[in-house]
Amino acid sequence: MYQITCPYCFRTFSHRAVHFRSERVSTGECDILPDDYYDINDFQARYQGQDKERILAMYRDWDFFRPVDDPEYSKFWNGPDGFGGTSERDPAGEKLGVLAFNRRVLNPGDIGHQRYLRQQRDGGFLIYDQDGFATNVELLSGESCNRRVCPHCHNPLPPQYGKHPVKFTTVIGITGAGKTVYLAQLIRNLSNYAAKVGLSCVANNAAARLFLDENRVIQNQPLPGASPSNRLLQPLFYDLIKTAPGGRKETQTFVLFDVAGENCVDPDLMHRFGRFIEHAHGIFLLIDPKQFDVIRSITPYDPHAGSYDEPASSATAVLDAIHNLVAQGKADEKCRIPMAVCISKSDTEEMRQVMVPQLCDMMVSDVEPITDQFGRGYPVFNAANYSPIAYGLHQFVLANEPALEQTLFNNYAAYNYFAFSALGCDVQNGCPVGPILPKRIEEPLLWLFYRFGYLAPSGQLYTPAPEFPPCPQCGGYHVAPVPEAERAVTVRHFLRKETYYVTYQCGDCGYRW
Amino acid sequence: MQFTYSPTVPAFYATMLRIDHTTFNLTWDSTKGQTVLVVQTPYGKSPLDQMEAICEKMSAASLAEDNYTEVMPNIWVRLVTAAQKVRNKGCPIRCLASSYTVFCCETQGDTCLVHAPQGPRNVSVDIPAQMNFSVQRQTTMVKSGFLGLGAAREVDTGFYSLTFLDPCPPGYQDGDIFFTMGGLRIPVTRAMLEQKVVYFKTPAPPMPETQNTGLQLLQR
Repeated sequence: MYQITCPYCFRTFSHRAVHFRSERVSTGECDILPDDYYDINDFQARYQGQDKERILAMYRDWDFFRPVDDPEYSKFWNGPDGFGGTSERDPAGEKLGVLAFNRRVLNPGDIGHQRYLRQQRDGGFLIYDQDGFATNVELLSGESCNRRVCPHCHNPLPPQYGKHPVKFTTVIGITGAGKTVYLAQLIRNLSNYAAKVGLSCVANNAAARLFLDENRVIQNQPLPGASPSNRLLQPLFYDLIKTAPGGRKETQTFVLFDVAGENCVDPDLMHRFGRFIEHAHGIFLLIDPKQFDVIRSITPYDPHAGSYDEPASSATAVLDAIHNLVAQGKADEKCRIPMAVCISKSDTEEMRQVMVPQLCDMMVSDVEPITDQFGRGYPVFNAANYSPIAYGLHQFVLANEPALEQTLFNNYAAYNYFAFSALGCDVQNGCPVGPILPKRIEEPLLWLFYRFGYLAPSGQLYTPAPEFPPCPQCGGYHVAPVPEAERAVTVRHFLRKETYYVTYQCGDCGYRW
Repeated sequence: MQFTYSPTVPAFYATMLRIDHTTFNLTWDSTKGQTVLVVQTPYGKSPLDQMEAICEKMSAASLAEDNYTEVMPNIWVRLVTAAQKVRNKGCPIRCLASSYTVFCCETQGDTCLVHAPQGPRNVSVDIPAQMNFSVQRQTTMVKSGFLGLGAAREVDTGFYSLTFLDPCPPGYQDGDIFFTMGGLRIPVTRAMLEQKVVYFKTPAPPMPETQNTGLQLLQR
């Protein structure tokens, strides 16, 4: 009934196959063995009492719950295709002296583990919530274990993860493009941004809070440093809740991944990080304005700034790599993952010099919500507010970075341009010097919500790429418009003829509609 | 009320000054609930160096309610409360070809502290004005031949007409637009702009010029 896709290894499994981290942990020295014996081997070798088997069984039970190095978990994070160590943080575990990923993993389907689990009335060991979703198991010693983990890679699954449809969203950008600051600002205010479009947003796990704690954006204090490019940061999980027509509550889960752009052009790193792009339902591609030639040409030389001259750091190289990965040999197909191409730091002086003044003003204005008579946000994407910006940015890219636009047009079926400022103020010596006023950082996310079907567009939405619907007959995407001269189709019946009009034709099955 | 220019205080900010292109009003981000001071200066000029003098003049002047007041030559100020900003959806501009700067105010009894901006960026906006014009050679048709019975031919009159296609921008100063002819600098006055068409007797087409960087002359 419920199928879960692990947000780490992306394998799919039933909710009944999920494993759990034990709440019972054996810490310190074992006091089951008599004092005369050094360790279990010594006890087994020398003890002759009749209760030897009973004591051994007690010891094994104690030892089973000892903190261990989880081989599956270690293989995922530290193996040859790993990520240089885990990025999972467990502040509570640090205080208790037992980290979450060192707790024993309990498999309700393993007979060896079932002896420690309380059997439920249905004969199984899983406990379900009122919707029939497996949530926890109970130990014979009474502890309720609800820390679910993937049965394959043993990475943690947030509570209720897998119960609702899930969308994966990947944020990609080269080091220095502003991903960390962008994400910090976005998730700090995510509830407010979601409320603008009539959604409630709830963080599903502690990763978001920990991310904000480690990446504080405060006026006159140093900005967070760039995250190491070959490390996998913990995904951020959110539940989005809206009231559908009829008053029914609908929940969707969306997951944010942070991937460095360098990982997309290095073949070895792409092998490890590619899965987070392959399985994405939406992608943010962050571009620093200094990646544009026109901006570099007016920027004073800064010997401390990173180099943007190498092909590896160009947005086009990243887009090519993504397309090659997602297309997987089908070079004649466009990538259908919606791509939000975002120009960060849109309020800099250099941007103001090269952009049309009207566009600059629009880029630093706030996203306008559309509200009902009570002031609550409608679940619509404000296309009228966004389309002039999209048009202006499209014209800018066409005029100054034609290769980027051509790459997008040729390889991606759904993309659009965005510009935002995560800080809204100057940065001097790595510190924001003014009031921190993010501008339009939620817009690409709301556009992706629209692409995911959470929101409807209000009005005509400008799009650089013409989009055709999939074929209603075969579901294929090789759809093209029917030439004008052929759109009127006349069908002769016995005594009359009928004319109808077709707009699209499918290149796969020939169907016209 | 006494106005005093005071140093930056992070809690009192006004920034991101820009034009709302739907209303063509100024809009900005500022500390919630606080009054802001909008200062209009000639195009490209910043009032930051003169703010102490401006505050002195404001203290002595009678400031118009919900409107601009000229406190120094070519420097106009307007106080905008938070409620006025919401009601008017910003602040209307007084005229084109000008620069506007915004400051956050803090009222302490009878004293209004005008706080310096926290950074040079985003507190000012320059609004240019455009003036379209066209220049046409004036000719007349003259009949030729005996008793004027021949074909008419076009003859140059020696005059050029200069037509100003846009209305005179508010705040236009006589001489912002001028002509250079025979070594003489001839100012274009407000009356000439309002008249729209001006005739020149000159061998070469008269081309208007301006030294006002906020005024853009475009020939049609």
